[in-house]
Amino acid sequence: MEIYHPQDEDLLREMRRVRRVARRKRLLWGFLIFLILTAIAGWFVYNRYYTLVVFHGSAMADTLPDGSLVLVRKDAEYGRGDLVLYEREDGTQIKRVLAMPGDRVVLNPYGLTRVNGEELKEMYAEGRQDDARGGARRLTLESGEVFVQGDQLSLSSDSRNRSWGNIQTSQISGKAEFVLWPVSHFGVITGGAERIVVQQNGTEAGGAE
Amino acid sequence: MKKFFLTLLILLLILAGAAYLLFPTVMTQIAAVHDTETMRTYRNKVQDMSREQISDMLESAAAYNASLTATEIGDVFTETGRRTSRDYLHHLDVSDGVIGIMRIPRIGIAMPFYHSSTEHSALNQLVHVDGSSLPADSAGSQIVLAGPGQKDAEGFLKDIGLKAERALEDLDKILPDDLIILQVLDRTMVYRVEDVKTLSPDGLKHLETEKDEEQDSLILMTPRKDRRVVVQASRIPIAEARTSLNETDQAEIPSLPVSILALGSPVMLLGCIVMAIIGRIKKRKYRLPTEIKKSRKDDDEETDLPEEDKETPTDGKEATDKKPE
Repeated sequence: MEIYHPQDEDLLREMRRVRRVARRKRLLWGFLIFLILTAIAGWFVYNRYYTLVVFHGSAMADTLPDGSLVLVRKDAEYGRGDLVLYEREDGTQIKRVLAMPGDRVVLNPYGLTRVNGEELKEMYAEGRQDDARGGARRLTLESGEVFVQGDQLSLSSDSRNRSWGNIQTSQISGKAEFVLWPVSHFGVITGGAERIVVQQNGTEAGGAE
Repeated sequence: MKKFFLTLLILLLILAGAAYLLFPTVMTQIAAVHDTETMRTYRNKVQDMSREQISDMLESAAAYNASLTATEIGDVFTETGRRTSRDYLHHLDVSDGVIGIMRIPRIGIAMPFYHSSTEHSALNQLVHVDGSSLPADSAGSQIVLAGPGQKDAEGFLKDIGLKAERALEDLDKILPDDLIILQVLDRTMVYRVEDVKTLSPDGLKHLETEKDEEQDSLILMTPRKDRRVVVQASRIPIAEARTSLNETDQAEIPSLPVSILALGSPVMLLGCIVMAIIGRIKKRKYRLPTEIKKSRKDDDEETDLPEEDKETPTDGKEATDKKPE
């Protein structure tokens, strides 16, 4: 009896077929597993760390254009100059923290705002304080109170208005850290107003935060 | 080989189609980045100005406005660049010809607007039309702005009908009662849209009006093929604008599935990269005999087995390549 040795080509064809079938199965399972892993990872991140927010409105001028997609860090520490997400009876919004609990604020429609004696030169701001309701005011924030302001000074409704008032720290749910969209604003949100410390004799000294 | 070239051709066609469709979007985003930078530079320069400097500039522009009588609205889109007086160009010149910033919140338009000049024309940028009032926050002003819709690409890309960035392409989506915000120096002027028309270039002449000392108005124009979209708006008090805009100032949290998908996607991307690397390692482990032979040839190793390792038939008969019937 002759012994048949299959041609190399037959063997190769069969091995390729087996490999192709195995690859398709691997791809399908891999895709399903990754979908599940994505959902689990997304849920974990959403639950513990970040919220996605779509910002609507003109209150934040060019800092956050209308329709911006913003990443907000949950329960993050924030300070003066940071953008925070808060919730009030009229809805959820993002504005900039100008003063923290215990700070002394002096609002001057015809000059710069002072916080604890320091004048704030707000490089991110548009418009002017003259257009805001409220006029000249002095106030000291109580424990648990935060003074917030929109970057569009003329059109933003915020703590400068007596009837709008300050927000409570318990109303703040996170700090806006990153802009995902639009592309022109993609990147980390830098907080902090550049400050100019006005000294007693009237001369200015640089004091960037 | 034939299959490879066919696949390559299909892939190239798909890529070319996608590039053709995505080109305007990509160019729009690039233009938006450039506009954002221009607006930031403008804002920084305004921040460095004193209140007195700003007041002087506005007073000077208001005096220029007072010298104007009727506003002539010609078809600025037929001119490639008009010579304007130095006096006009001198007013409200803060940064590289930028007069201010225009925003239309509801349809998401935000861009700087320039003095009309040989350098900046309504065919390329949003410009203030010379002959109309400058936005000096003064009474009785009639401001006219004009800008392109969707710009054509340049050179060869234009020849194949490709469009570039969208400037005021969405202006025809504007509705009565929408707000238009002009930011000039530290002044914010808000206008409420009263009428939106589509006119022929000749029809623009009917828009000429005598100045109304009691009403500030804004006209915004853009071309749409051989017609002109004209938006007419009247100025409203800041307090009224603030109340209107406050109703739309909201931070919306997307639905749970969208949030989870968006936050988990970076993990998925990382996982794909890891999977690709693992797949590559496994492929090296289970290579076919021909691939092993090829790699051995590349390494200049012997491809023939030694004589003592060759198989011999157990019954003494010789092996054959002929397939049994």
